[in-house]
Amino acid sequence: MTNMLEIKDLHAEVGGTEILKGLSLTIGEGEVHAIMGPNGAGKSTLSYVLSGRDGYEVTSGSITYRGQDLFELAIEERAAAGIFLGFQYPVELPGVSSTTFLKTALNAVLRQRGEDELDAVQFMKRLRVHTKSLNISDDMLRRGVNVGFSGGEKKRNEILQMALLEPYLAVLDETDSGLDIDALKVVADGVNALRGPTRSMLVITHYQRLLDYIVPDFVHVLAHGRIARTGGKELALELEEKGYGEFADAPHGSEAA
Amino acid sequence: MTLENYQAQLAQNLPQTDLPWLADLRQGAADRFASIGLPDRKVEAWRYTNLKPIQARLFEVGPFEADTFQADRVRAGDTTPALLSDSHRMVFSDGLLIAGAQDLPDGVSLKGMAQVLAEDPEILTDHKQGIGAIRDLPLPTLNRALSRDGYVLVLEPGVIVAQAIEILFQSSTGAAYPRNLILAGAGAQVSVVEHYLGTSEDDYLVNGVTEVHAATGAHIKRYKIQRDGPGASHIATLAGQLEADARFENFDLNLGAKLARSEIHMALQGHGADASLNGVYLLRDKQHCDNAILMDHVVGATNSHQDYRGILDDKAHGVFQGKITVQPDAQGIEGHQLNKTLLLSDTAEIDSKPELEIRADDVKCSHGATAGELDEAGLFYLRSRGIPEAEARQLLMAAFIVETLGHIDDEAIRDVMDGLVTDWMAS
Ligand SMILES: Nc1ncnc2c1ncn2[C@@H]1O[C@H](COP(=O)(O)OP(=O)(O)O)[C@@H](O)[C@H]1O
Ligand SMILES: [Mg+2]
Repeated sequence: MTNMLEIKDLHAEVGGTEILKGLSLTIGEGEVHAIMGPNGAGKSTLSYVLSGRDGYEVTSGSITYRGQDLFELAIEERAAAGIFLGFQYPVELPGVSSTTFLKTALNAVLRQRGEDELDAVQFMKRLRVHTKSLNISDDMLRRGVNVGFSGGEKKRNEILQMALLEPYLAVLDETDSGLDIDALKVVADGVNALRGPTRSMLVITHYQRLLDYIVPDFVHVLAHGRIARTGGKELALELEEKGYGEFADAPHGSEAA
Repeated sequence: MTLENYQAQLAQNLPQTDLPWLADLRQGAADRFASIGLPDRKVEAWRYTNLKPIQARLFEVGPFEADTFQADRVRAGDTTPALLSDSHRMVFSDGLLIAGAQDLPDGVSLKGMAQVLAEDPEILTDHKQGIGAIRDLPLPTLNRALSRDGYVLVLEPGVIVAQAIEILFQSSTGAAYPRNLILAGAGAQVSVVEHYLGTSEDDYLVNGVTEVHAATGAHIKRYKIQRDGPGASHIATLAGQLEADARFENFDLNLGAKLARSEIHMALQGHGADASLNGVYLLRDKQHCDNAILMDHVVGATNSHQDYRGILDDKAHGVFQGKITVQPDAQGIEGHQLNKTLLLSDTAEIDSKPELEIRADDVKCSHGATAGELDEAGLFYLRSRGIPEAEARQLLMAAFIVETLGHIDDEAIRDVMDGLVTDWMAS
């Protein structure tokens, strides 16, 4: 069985500064991995490299996604191939109606996957299934994408997009930040509903709290641009207790490794 | 071009007329233009637009044919599809009427200017001189001298025209000087689309004037769709006078021509008058488009609103000059003005100059201008959802102007504009 994702010795720069410095990580099918780490460790950078954002330059290393060289795919092709990024800071798009956006995205992905596009009625039917469970109001759908949404609404909107696009690999970047406990549960339920044997998840979080609700198979600590430690879900509890102090400063010699 | 040259050229090209007052007006305008000539860029209003490209074409007006105003004459010449499926339609070709409007409702008169001058000149009795604000400006002056035709729309008081009026000005060569007049009686309502369309790549000139008089409570919506040819120069001057509670909505969609200038002089001269002037300019290659607006709050309790947005690619150059003037004692007015431009390339350029001149104290005025690039984060967000780059860019471009297009009240006309805008973005 091929792995969902294999990252090998990944080095990546942003604005000429190396942020990822030899990161390796393998995610199997159906597995949920959590990445934790101090602010500025490079967690969002990793998520952007996976989705192909301009300005996040890979200088060496490889990423294989479902047996395929990920770097050969453009941003939209990665989405069509089943990579989904839940943004830490979802982008506001004034003037682009949420419904138009969702329909355009879903049909673009279906088209690239060789499936039939949905007409307005079919689309609304499919949309309804998810908006109900994610508690997304018609008013939100009428507004511009993320415009005037609360923090919680933005995050629920990310999960809605994920549910519609049915990815194989969901990368969720701090989906818990800024959420109260009720909102967190809605989001976690949405994520858990999508868990399955063919779907893998990379859950990026700063806090252990989310992992009470989305229970991971593996927990990694990202520090200084690489995976500094890997463990089971108990590692998250340990980090919660001790903080990231032991990862705060670069150990001597690590730069030269 | 020298003064003597102008005089000689104008003398040769003045249209003939049996109406002494018109002959005098044309001669007077010719003399005036010969002495002032075209404005150069030292004139503040023309600071950003160079008129040199139109010099060579100024006097290439076609011959005047007395029978061109016969409304039923040449419908065969009218082969361009209508923009609106349901409208009263009139067609001008290179400055002359070739197809007249038919089946007009009672209380509505829509004729060619040449026809009115021949049959019915008394309609023009109170409007011979034209609106003072533009009378002495160089380009309207030249239009006065050389204009051969245009449309005259007269609405009796209280008439509500259900179907829009669509007027096509197609051009292919030379110079055309359409002169149009809208006279709306008290409480009358109408929507007029002026569609300028190029049928050649020639560097022809259109220098048009449209004058609008809205009596008490009249409501006029006027839409201009400018799709002149890629070599053309399109100059348009619109002047309006709004009486009490009259409402005027204008929308300028600028897509065509190499050089375009749209100048609007709007006088709010009765309490409760309201003008909403909006526009979208979409430019690429080396296109140049200059929107200049003078909004004059002559009396109190008047409202004005301007929202102009543009998208510029390649080496295109946009200009927006908007001035709101509030006359002394024009209290309790509201005037708002917004200009936003999206620059798709490093070499595209916008000059935006909003201006307020306020001589009353109880006013609510605002103006703002922004220019920026397509939002990289937005583009990435859309693409990360599987939307191909070209489609994502189009979504963001459409989003940039959607609010402005939203000012178009008539749904069928908004659909037409939407279609044209979408075509532009997709090409
Ligand atoms: N666009 C950018 N330009 C320059 N530096 C950046 C940019 N984005 C992130 N960085 C830097 O990269 C490092 C990693 O950031 P990030 O991946 O956002 O960390 P995390 O998500 O773990 O908090 C930080 O030092 C941050 O300042
Ligand atoms: Mg981050």
